[in-house]
Amino acid sequence: MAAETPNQAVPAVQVAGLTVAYDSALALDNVDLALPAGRLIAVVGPNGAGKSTLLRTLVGSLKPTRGSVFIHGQDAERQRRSGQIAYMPQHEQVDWDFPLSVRDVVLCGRYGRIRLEGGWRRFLLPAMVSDRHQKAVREALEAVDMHDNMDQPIETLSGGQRKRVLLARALAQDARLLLLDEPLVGVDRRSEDLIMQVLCRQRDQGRTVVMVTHDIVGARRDADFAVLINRRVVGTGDPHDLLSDDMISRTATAAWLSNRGQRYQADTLEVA
Amino acid sequence: MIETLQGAGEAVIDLLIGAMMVVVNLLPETLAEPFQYRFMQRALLTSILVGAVCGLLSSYVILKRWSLLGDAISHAVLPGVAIAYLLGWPFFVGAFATGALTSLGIGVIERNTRIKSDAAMGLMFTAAFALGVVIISQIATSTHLMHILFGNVLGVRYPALMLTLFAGVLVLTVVLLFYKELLVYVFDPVQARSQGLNTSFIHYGLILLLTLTIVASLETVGIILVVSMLVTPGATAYLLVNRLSTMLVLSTVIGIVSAVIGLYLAFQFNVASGGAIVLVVSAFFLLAFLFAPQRGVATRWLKQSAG
Repeated sequence: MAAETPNQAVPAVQVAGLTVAYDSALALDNVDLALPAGRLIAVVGPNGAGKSTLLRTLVGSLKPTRGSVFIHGQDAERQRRSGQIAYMPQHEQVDWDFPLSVRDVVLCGRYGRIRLEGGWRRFLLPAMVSDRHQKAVREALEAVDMHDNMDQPIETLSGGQRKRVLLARALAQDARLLLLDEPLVGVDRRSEDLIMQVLCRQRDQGRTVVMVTHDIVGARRDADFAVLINRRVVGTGDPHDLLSDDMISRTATAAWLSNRGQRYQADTLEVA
Repeated sequence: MIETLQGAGEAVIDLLIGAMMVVVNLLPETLAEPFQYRFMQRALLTSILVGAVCGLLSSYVILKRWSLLGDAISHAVLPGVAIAYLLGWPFFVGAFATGALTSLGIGVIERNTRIKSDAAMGLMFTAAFALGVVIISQIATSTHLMHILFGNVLGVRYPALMLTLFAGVLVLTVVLLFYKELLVYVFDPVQARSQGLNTSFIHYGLILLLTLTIVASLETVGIILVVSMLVTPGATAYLLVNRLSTMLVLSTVIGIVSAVIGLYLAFQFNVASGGAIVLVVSAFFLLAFLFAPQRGVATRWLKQSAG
């Protein structure tokens, strides 16, 4: 599953003047951002800072009010259609009572590729798709140590297992860019270590991994690049410099000040 | 052109009825006897088709939590039937138009105001339904209204049968060819977008299929009771299985079996066919609720007292 060698000069994500509004509230305000390719990138910010909004805009499920999004130097929608953007949601976003097995969910990661094969094969039922895709599903599940649970119904999985299955679905897609929304929330120590190992390996294989996280210590330790946002970009750069205690507390205060008088108050950052 | 099409459609239906009767005549004579009448043969074919297409879609309705939307569209069909009657059009043209318009209107209210979807549906479908009731009270007899509201499968004719057949074939084809796209859209629409799928197209496509199915089921179970066929088979199957594919097959089978048994009981006891069909499918749900292998209330109770 080696990714194409990314052109390091072209940013994986290039966002200019991005504004996203819900009703009248601005979730993101005129964001300019360039995320380097082939890195493990942590997106950090207080609650309500627009981290998930940023991911959902990249994924295409939210339409920007203004601004442009380019991925690998191309129009984002073109990159989506060619299967180059994999996405891992927060696990509450998905209905775990859905009648699917672990294998069924991970195979969803291959659907984009199956569609790209074109011809009549794109209409095949999941049980009939070629061994190549079944093999990719197996490998992705082995990577997150869930291959013994392939035929288990997803409703019987624990929190950590659910995260790992969603991660496997993103891995199975074999995309150049992985977008992960809080991949470490609500998992036990073992799952957390395993997920971080998998993400580092993906980065080492040349993919770009963007994760939204609350875990400042983890981001400082593992990430190569950090983005601190609070509806605007507060700063980007080396995680050790950017995620200093001083910077974090200033962002949290700024969040509190800028949200004062609105209907919600941003929480301070959780420093783990 | 239209006449050739109509002739071909009637020929296909006669062929299906012929094939169906071969099976029916294998049954014991007491069971097969009602179906020697021409109108009962048409009613049986309609019931099988409606049971199948509603049953199949009901799985998606359950998983997508669209029960209230189904209810809304079915009520919104009434003014369309009335207007078509006024203008002398086939009833299903008007029914489809107002059903689809109402579901669009619900989306418009939801997106442009702070009103949430349940209230948007509640206010749109009652308004549409009221319009239907007002028009019909001016132009038609109450028997007419009763037939639209509660169905009259024993009076089904060729045009309605053809529409039902068309809906059935279309829904089955779409579900088979786009099984993967529907699955990923219903399970995780955000991931569907990340793969470049046009989720609004899938969303409205599914709503149009739902509307078509409701219109095609009008004469069998009627506006009020079609919701039951769009919810109960799927809910029953949901309690019984763990795989989407088996759930779809099972809900289709439950839809067909309920429709056939309901029709037979309606004839034998001379009661309303729509009501009889819905009572049968509800009985299936009750059985699953109590005795489903893993999730049944009575099953779990028995297991607990045994272990």
